[in-house]
Amino acid sequence: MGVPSSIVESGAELTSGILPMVCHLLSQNPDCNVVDLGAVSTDNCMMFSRNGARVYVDTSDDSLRSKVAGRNELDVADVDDLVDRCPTPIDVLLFWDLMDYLSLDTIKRVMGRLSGVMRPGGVLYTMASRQRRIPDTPALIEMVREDCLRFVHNDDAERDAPQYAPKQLEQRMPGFVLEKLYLLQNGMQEHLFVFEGLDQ
Amino acid sequence: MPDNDTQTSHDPSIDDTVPCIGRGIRITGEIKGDHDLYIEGEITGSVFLPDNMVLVGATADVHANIIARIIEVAGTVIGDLKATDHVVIKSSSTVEGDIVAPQIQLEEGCQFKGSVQMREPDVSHQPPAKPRVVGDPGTVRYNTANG
Repeated sequence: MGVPSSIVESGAELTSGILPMVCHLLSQNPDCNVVDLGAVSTDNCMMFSRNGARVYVDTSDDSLRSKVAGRNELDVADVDDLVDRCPTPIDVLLFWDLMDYLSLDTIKRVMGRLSGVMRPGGVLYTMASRQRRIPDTPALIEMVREDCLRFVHNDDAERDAPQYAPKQLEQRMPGFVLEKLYLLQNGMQEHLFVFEGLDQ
Repeated sequence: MPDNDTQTSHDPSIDDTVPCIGRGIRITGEIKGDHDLYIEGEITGSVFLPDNMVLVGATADVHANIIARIIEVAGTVIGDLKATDHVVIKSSSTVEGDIVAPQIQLEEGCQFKGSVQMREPDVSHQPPAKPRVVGDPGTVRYNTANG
């Protein structure tokens, strides 16, 4: 008999512990620059932008998410293209459900590049699974409300989850300090990192 | 005139007298005026119609910043979009640029790269800056009195 999947059913709505904090930050700072690296839901962008934040969106076929889904890797050139286009300095960086599909070396390269355009005091909101297995491609994560997320994945294929520890991620993100953790019911762990700046 | 087969929404307020830059027509320069505009051809430069609607049809290829009251895009736009009312990016479109408008709709399936900001744009009654990739300078002004 096969091992049953530990992945919560697609479409389940889950209470988030960190999303309300990020939404509050955006409501207090209307002129924020928000960059979403992952599976972009246009509805999410509208919700993030409704207080006036400038939200970078890439729904094209050569978006970062498409590249990650296709080859589980990112080149520095891919991130350079993003940095050239997105509004900077970045106040809120969203890195939802992509880290599980990248190696630690790639995460280090990507975050090393992005730390150069983060505003000190800005935040990184990311997620990584604590489950043993994850869908083979990144999920689409939708904001249902300011305290609720819905995970949608259409891939029946699965893979082993890397199960990155928060400390492992922090060590590969120059200038970022872990501020808060929250475990969702589907085994996804939310992380909120604060960018304190790079050492001179 | 808007072709019924093109993938644009037909606003009932847009009638057959709406000026149209038809397929196969290329314009380089600044377009200013005081009437709605339907684009099916190619524009390089800028479009400044702050009190009107601009419809970019599915066959249009626009390399220009656009300022209008309402902007709907079904074709290709490389440039920034600013609207005092709303912007709609249709599922068939390809857009690279920044959008500023109180209401913005990105339809699923659109190819969009840029930032969105839901607020009233800072629009002065000056022609917008041309995007980085531009053609020869020049101004085309169409006058509603002439149709």
